Amino acid sequence: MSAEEGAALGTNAAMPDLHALAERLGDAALAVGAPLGQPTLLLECGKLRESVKWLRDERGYQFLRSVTAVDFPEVEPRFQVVYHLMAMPQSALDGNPTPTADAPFRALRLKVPVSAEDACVDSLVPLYETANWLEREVWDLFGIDFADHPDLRRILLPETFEGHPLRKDHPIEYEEVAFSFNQDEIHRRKAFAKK
Amino acid sequence: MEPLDLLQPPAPPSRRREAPAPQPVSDEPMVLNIGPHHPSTHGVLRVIVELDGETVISATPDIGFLHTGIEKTFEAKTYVKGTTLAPRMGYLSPINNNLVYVLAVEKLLEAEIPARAMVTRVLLAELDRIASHLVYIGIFALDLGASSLMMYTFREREQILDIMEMVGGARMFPSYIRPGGLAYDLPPGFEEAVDALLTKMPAALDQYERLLTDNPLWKQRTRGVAAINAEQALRLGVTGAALRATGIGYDLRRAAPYCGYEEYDFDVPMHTDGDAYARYQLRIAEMRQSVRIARQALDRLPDGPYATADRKIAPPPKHELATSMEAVIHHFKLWTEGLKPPPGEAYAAIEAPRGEMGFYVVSDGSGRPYRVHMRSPSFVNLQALEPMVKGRMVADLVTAVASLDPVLGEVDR
Repeated sequence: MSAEEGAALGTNAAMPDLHALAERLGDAALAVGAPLGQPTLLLECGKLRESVKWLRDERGYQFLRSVTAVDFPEVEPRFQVVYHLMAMPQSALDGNPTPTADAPFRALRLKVPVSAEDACVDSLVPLYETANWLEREVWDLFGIDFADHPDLRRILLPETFEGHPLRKDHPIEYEEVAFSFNQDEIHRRKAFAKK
Repeated sequence: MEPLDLLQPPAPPSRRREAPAPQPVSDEPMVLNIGPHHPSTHGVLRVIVELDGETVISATPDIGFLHTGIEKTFEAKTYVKGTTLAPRMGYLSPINNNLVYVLAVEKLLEAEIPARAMVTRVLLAELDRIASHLVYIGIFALDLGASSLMMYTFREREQILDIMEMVGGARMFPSYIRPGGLAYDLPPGFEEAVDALLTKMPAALDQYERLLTDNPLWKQRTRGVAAINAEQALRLGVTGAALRATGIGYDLRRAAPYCGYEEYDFDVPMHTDGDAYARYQLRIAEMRQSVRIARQALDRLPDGPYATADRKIAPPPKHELATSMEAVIHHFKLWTEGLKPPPGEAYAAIEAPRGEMGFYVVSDGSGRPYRVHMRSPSFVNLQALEPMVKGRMVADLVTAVASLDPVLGEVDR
């Protein structure tokens, strides 16, 4: 039994929705695929809210599972904000937890590249109330702004904290053992060494 | 001086001052700070409550007191060391946390897991679910004043923790589930210990139900309290028993089965009231189903390898190191650089006792994860706290928090 079947996003059932969305977006859809069986769409920042609204209203993606971000400091644009959405079949909404083959749970991932200068994405709070805390966490740890968020402030770190720790240039602050062959790598990763 | 009247006792000196003039009652709501040091907040949860008398106008959770920056720590450690980090976040369901992290890593590795490991994972995950729900019931009762129940539920939990210790060496965080399978083979005596527990559990569950389910005090404090409806719950991203209590059938063991759950025969308890009583009833029912699944897993536990034969993922058994040079090299590489999944990303989610727990792991091809994000059910579920208690009395806040079952380690990470 392979692990691919296990913990799957719910098979590739979401691919037709992603292909339809990619067609709608045209050039704004930067990449579509299902690596490791996970339907994923990379789309332009400006088209996020209308795409998610279309997915929610036209294709039934009523559930926002998670919002997070990844920092690629050597790439432009620097950040990728990652959204995981889930469409529950009507049978589940009516109380039956077992899906059928023709009405499965559909899960997909949306990725939005965001540059470091105007690190700003449209907030999904008008569409999903759960995005409130999820986006606050991304703001807190990455410093990515969410336009129209009703209450964008730090959530996990104290209000007085300076910096956005999950960015790669924020140091981990422990002493790594430095040998002659890994010196450069350590200096690259640490913004400043402890004195 | 007045002459003493011998028939009347002397009037005592008047200690009464003039009663203060009545002050106008303020219209401002009172702001009450509950926590973070508080016995009923399930950890370091701070809730800032605005009260009008005893009625809650708003309840804002303030979290972050247990934030450890574990997502950044993951980036500094190898993947296998991550199996020690992951369970410590949601510390009441450590096996499930361990499992979902390993599933995400195995997805990146596209690893084949032997059947023995799969069945053991299901068995341990269900025992972990029972242990977590036992804490839930016990602490829920304790928060509401029924303090003796906690000791009864912890009695069964001790048995489960003893099984965990037997299997992995530690009661709560054995880190027994590793990428590729299990860390070591199951010890002798394991099956007997699990059998003894599963035989005892149904009677124990009956005992807890006898104390709570038809108890008029319990019903009065939980029926209709902290209710949330299906549409609200879906919008807020609530998962787990809290969502199934509102009538929406979302259980990842059915929605997106993992570790072979589609082959086990079990029910997913559902409810429609959405209140604290419904969530309590669901957890008891889920424990009964977990016993059922664990029993099936125990019966079908196959022989065979406990980890994949791919030496780039799972280390060779110790005895091989004496005879095989390749084994030594693999062992060395795994312990120094760690296993190296090809570059990519994977999101794996399971039905943890608290809801949908997911790990999003991004690999850059090196021995350390590039990014690990934990989608924690308690973090998202806690957003539902305010809608649950708005307009209700402040005592219901404790019921709401207890019935939502947040684990602050998972909330704050």
